Amino acid sequence: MRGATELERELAGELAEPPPLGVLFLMHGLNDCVEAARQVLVSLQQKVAKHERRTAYVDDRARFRGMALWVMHLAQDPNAKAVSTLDQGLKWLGVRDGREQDAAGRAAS
Amino acid sequence: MTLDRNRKLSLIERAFLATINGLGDLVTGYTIAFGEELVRQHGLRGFFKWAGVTQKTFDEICAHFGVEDAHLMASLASFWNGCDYCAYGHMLAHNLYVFERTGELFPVDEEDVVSLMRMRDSEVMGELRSRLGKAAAYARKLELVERKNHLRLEEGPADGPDDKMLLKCIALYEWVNECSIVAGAPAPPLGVIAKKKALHQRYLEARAPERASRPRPVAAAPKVT
Repeated sequence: MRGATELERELAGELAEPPPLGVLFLMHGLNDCVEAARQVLVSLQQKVAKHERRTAYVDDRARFRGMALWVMHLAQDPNAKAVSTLDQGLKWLGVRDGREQDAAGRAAS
Repeated sequence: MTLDRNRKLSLIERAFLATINGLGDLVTGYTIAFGEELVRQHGLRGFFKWAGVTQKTFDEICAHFGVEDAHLMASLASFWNGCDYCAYGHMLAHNLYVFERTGELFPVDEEDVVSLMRMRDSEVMGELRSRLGKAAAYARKLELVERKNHLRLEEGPADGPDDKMLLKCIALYEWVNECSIVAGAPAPPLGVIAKKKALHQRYLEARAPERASRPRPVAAAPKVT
């Protein structure tokens, strides 16, 4: 919970600064994320969304990718995505498509 | 349409959901736990579009792989996205098909989904190889599991009709899991086989001793709270 709050405070300053960089969360060191911390992450993600920054959450554990998807879904940030590898994360930061729109398009093609 | 989780569904939306849930139960034998989220996210018109396209795409995947393996692929696609509800429900549907066809229990129990999700992806693949590699009957399933993992990690180009359908399946569940992520395991069998309640009961009875005797998979990193 404290980690999420500190992260939110630190990132708030970074987001205000140009140029519009993407945000990369490396979650490999995370062991758990309690409900209250998830809500802080939702609030943080909403701030990132407001600045229209791309976000990638990277973790090689399905559980935490699911948590990240929950966060970005509740934050309604179409520019965020949870991925398994750093390469996929960097790739996501470089494209323009929205997460859900991109998936729907590929599913229906 | 944007999601406002504080928005209460309108009377019309609630009546619609109740009707859809009743019909779903009657026709398919189950209802999904994230219907409200779908309506909140897409609205009523969007719900119909979502349902139409996702069903059509899943039908295509079934036509290619067969309904049994389509559920296995749906489960794994959801698993890698971290959606335990869909991973559990499609694994259960798959396992019921296997049990009905062969009388055997598939070596990946749907109850294992949540604990497997705590593992690193490489550990999960090791576990799947170990369990599916023991029986020649599961060679095709293991081949699909391996190929799907390869494609989702974008480790090489897609090639051939299997890959095309696996990529479609990956995309479909990225889309479905967008809303299903708010639901949690356990889930009902997420397929028409849910109508076979007696089969499900026999399956649970067959699983019971195996569940009692088999150790659960444990993630390398212990949970710290």
